[in-house]
Amino acid sequence: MTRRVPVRVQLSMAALVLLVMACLAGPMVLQRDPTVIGDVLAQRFSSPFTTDGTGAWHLFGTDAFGRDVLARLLLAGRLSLLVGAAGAVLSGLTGALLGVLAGWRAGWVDLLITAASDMLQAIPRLVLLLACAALWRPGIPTLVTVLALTGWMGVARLVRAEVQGLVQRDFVAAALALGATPRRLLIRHILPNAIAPVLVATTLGIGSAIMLESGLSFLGLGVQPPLPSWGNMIAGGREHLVTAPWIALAPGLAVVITVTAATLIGDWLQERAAGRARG
Amino acid sequence: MAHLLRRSGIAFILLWLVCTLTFALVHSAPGDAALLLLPPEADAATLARLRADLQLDGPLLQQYLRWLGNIARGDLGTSLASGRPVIESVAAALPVSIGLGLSSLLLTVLLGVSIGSAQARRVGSTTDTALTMLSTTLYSAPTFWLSLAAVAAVTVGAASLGVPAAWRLPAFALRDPGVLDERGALADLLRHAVLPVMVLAVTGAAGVARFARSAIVEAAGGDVRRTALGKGLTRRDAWSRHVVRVALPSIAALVALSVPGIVAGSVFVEGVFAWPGMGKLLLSAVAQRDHPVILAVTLLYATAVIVTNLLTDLVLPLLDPRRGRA
Repeated sequence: MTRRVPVRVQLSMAALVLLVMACLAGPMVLQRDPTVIGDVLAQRFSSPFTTDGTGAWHLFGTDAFGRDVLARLLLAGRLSLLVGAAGAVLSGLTGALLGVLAGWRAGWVDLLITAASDMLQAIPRLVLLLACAALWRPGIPTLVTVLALTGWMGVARLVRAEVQGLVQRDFVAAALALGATPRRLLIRHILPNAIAPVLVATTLGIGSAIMLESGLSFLGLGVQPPLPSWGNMIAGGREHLVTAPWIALAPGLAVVITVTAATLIGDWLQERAAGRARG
Repeated sequence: MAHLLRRSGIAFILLWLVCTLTFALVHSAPGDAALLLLPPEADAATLARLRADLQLDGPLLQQYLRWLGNIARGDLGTSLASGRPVIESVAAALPVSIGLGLSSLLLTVLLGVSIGSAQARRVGSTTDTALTMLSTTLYSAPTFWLSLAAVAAVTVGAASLGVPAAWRLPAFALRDPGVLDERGALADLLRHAVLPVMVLAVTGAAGVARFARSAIVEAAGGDVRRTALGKGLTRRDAWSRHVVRVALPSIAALVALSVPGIVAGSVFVEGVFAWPGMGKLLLSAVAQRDHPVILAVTLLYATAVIVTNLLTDLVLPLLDPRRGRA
C-alpha cells in the first residue's frame, strides 16, 4: 500500500521544513534588527560573503540602506509564508464549504454558487487582485481576504462534483436507511470522502498564493515597507540591479524554491489521489 | 446551432455578471472619487457639479443602469487622471498587448506541447525527470523576477561578456527613438519584442508542458495505442497519429485555460519592460486610483477570457477523433 516517496518530493519537503525553521528561528539567532538602519555609508552595498565598513560579515551582503539581506530575507519569509499559507488555507476552506453546499443542495443554491464561481474565474486572478488592492487600503488583512475570495473556485468545482457523485453511492443510501440525519451523513460519510481534492488544491494553492503575494508586494500593493516581504525586497533591489544584483536575486530565489517545493508536493499528492480513485 | 446559441447566451450572461461585479467592487470601495479630485477647500456646489460630471450623482441603481447603457454603446467613460475618454487609451494599448499576447501564446503552445510530448515518450527516464524539474522551477518563478533577470542579462551581463553594442538586445520600450524608415522600424520593433515574448513564452510553455505530458501519458496508457499497434501500425505512427490525436482536445482546452495566465504574466512583463500595452495601462491606473480605467481594463480582460472559452467550447468537439465527423 505505502509506495515509496519520490526523491524530489522528499527533497521538497526537506527544503520547506528547513526554510520554515530558518524563517522562524533566524531573526532571533542573527541578533540583527533587519528594519533598523545603522551607519548607511559604511554598511551599504556590501557584496555577499564580505565584511562591510564596520567589520560585520554578511552571508548575502547588504542592501542600499546597509541592512543585512539574509536577516531581511528570513523576516520577510515569515510574512510571505504566513500570507501564502493563510490565503491558500482560507480559499481551500471557502471552496470546500461552497462546493459541499452546491453539491448537496441542488437547485438555486447550486446555481448561485456555480454562477459566482464562473464569474470570478472569467477575470484573471491577478487583475482582480490588482483592482481590489487599488480600491481598498493595501496591507496584509486586505491581501489575505482578497487571496481567499479569489482562490476558492477550483476547489469548489472539484468538491461539488465529488459530492454529487458520492450522494448517489450505495453507502449513502445505506446510511440513510439506517436512519442517519442529514448532518451526520454529511459529516461522517460525505466530507471524509471529499477531502482529498481539497488537500491537493490547497497545497498547490500555497505556491500560487505566495507568488501572487510577491507580485502584489513587488508592485507596492501588498505588504508595505518597512515591513519586508519577498516581493517588496525584489522591488527594492530593482533600482540596484546593475550595481548590486544580490538584493533582488536572494528573495527571488527564496520564492522559486518555496513555490517549486509546494508544487512538486502538490503534484505528487494529486497523482496519489488520482491513483487511489482509479483503484 | 442550438448548442451555439446556448453557449453564446451563457457567455453573454457571464459578461453581464462580470460587469455587475466590477461595478459593485468600485462602488463599495471606501473613498469618494470626487472628493479625491478636489482640493479640501472646495465648496459643496463644486462638489455637486463634479459628481454630476463624473456621473456619480443619483441613486446607485440609476448610476448602475446608466453605466451599463454606456458600456453597451461602447462608451467606457472618462479617465479621472487624464480627463480623456478611456476608449482612446484602450485603443492605443490594445494592439500592443494583442501582438505580445498572440505571439507568446503561439510560442507557448509550440514549445510546451513539443516538450511535453517528448517527455511523455520517455516517461521515467532521466531526461523526463530533468525536464519536469526544469519546467516546475520555471513555472514557479515569478514572471517579474525572470523579467528583471533578463534585463540584467542583456545589460550588465552582455556588457561584462564584451558583446558588441550592435548585437545587444534592447531591454525597454517598444522602439528606439530616431528609426524612421519602415523596414528599419519593423526590425527595431522585433528586436524590442524578443525579451518580453521570450519571458512570457518560457513561463507559459513550462505550464503547458507539465499538463501536456500527463495528458499524453494518459492517452498512451489507453486502448487507442494498443489497438493501433495491434493492427500493425509502427510505433511512430501509432504515437503521432493516434495517441497525440486523442490527447489533443485536452491540450487545446489547456490553451484556453492558459489565457488568464498569459494576461497576468503580461501585466508584469509590460510593467518591467515598459511596453505601452493594457497591462501597463492597468498598472498606472491602479497607481493613480483611476477607477474608470481599472473598470475598463478588467472588463476587457474578462471579455478576452470569456470569448476564448466560448471559442474553445465550440472548436473542441471538432478536434476529438472519438466523436466522428458528423
